[in-house]
Amino acid sequence: MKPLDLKPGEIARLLRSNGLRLQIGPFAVSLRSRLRRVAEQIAFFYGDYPRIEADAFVDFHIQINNPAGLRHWVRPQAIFSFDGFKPFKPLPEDQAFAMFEWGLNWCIATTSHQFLITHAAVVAKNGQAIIFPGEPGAGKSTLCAALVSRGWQLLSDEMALIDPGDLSITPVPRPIGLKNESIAIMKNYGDETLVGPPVTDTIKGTVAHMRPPADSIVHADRDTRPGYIIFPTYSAAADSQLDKVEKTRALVRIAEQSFNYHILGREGFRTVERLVSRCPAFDLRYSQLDSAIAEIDALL
Amino acid sequence: MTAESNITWKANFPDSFLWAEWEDEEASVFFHRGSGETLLLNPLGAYLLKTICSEDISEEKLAQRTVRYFDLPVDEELLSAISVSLHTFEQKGLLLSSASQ
Amino acid sequence: MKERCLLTDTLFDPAAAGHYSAAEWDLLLRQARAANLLAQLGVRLAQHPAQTEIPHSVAQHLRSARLIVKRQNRAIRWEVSLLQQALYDLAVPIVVLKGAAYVLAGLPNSDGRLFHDIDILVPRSALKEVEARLRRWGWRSTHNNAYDQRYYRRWMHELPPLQHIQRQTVLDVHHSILPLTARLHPDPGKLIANAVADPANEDIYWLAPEDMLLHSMTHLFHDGELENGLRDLVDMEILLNHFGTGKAFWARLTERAELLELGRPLYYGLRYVERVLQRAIPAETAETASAWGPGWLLGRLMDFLFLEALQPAHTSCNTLSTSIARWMLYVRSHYLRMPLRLLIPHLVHKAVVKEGNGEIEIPKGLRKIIADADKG
Repeated sequence: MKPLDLKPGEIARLLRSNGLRLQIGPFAVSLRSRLRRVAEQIAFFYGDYPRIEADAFVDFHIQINNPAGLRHWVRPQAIFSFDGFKPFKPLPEDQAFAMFEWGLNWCIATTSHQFLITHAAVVAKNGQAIIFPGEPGAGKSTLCAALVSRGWQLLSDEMALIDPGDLSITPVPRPIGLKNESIAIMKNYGDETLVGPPVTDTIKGTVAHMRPPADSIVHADRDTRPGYIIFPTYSAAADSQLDKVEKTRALVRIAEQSFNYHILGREGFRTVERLVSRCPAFDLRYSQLDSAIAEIDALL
Repeated sequence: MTAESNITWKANFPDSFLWAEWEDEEASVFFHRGSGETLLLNPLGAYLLKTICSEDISEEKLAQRTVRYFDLPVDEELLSAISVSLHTFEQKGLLLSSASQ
Repeated sequence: MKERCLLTDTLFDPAAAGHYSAAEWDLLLRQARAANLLAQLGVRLAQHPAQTEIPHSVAQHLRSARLIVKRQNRAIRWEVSLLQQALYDLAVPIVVLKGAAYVLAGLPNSDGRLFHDIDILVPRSALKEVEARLRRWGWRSTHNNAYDQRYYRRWMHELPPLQHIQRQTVLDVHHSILPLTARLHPDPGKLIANAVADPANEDIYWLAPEDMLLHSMTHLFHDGELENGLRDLVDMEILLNHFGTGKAFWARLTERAELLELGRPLYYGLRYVERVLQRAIPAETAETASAWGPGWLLGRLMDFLFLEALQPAHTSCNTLSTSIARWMLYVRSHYLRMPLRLLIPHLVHKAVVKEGNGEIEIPKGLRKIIADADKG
């Protein structure tokens, strides 16, 4: 597949007309939008992604535009549409790009039951993936962004796509969502030029996205074996420490974090059972990114 | 015994009961395909559900078996733990009860 | 510009999919998803495996949709077991309707059908007790404002929808299949008396085959929720194929329509199953039903409205006239449900309360007219 390799102006034109068609991990996505803000950010974040042919099958036909109505003239809003179906209320227009990311998460999680889909960041090194399930406030994205800044491959920031057959993980590398303090932390820790403009006052506070490394996008067609499960917890002034988690507990915690576990039913339950049988699970308490990464490196 | 002798317990969709267990861990994980519920159970909870899953049973008989299985003295605390567990499972739609005079 | 409706073509002739291009598969899946028929499409294509090689991505979407249905159906059987437990002491017949009934009765349309609520029909005399008992088992009314409560209790054929406080399942408890104010008055007692007992669950019933079809037709052609219209029509087609293997069924169908005073919905049901899904109707039945049809002029209008409105709810099939047809049929269904003096205040109330909730979408074309009229 060819990389997009388009000028920002061409991207904007495609978004306005028949749609910009991108391959994002295993998914073919068509995006249409008249919003300039969306065009700018898509060019920034998705400029290196492979493009797909105009007459190919598309998994998700997405539009982000202003909702109908007069309200637009008072306070501009954006609304997400999955082929005419609008699952969310409109949001202020400056959140339009974040809305695309959230909406695409929703599309994947509600339609892609060929995978067990777990709310988790996944990074890999030497052909082994580490799953970081995202309990609220765990700081999985910060840790994930830090690992990626230190040369790990990004498989996913929000969702682990786990194959119920062989447990391999299909990469779906996308911009890493950073919240509040993490934004400044990552600007200092990693490459500042990869972080997009912050948006304030979202339901998640201030958010910004970080561009995934070009290497991760190139290797997005390679499934990877999972090696470990790590439940991160950010805890001020804590020394980095890994503690073994019992398999039974890991199973229940991953089941809770999975979007479609109940839809897969028996297959979902058995998949998580096999996953925790194969991959040792740990709690990781950390306050310093460097020492946390050292602990994780030592596992491999 | 104070167990409610006139209640009979039965599993709701026994073929929906699935278990994950490891030899070196005490707890069990239970999954019910009907409700979609996943529970981390202590040995008492697991024993109760497994026993009821294999046959419908009165609460009194279940309590007697439990006492024997775990080799415990019969006391109020144990009986009430059994009763509370059973009603919790019933609330979750995993067990059905019927009065059997 | 209206493209050809691939979905109905493919449902009628699944083998045609064998030579679809990637772009055609793309359009087909979009129409099927919008019509809530994705899983049903998967079922049809699986029944004709020899001719059709389904592209990998397409197969994943179809399989996912069927997994959701499978999960739903398992959950429904479980939910009904809890309903039965809650109402067991009352010893009243609980007639499960629509989607949940198809699942319990193991009918072939249940493999590919998604639905939201569980609908049950109970004798009106038992309604109070049923409601009280359901409350005790955790079911609560979702419509708490006084207007809605009054509206449902005075005019409707069901209680305000109930929702379970832990499981969130929505339950509609009916005492009739049409509102008390409706033009047609099918006697619910006759439906209950004719219902089929569930061999696996005491007190649980579903409607007899003919009544099940008549109910489905009444619901579609007198209810006005046309976004799922094509899905409901497909239900009828599958049920007619399933039950209609012998002459006796077709004779009972017209007899029951006569007895329940549901001749008109039967006429519409048979007509549009034939027109939209190309399912042939036995000549004798069609002839009997034609006596219940509307006059020539009204018939032409209804053809125009229903043939538009029964398209998949996807932009590729929807033109301005589709939206207008749906809107007119929505208003018509209310008109059929209640006298005009009740209708106007109710529609106004609904429009004011539900605007922006997406429940009644005023079609874009009409909105423009309304906005212009406002300015004038």
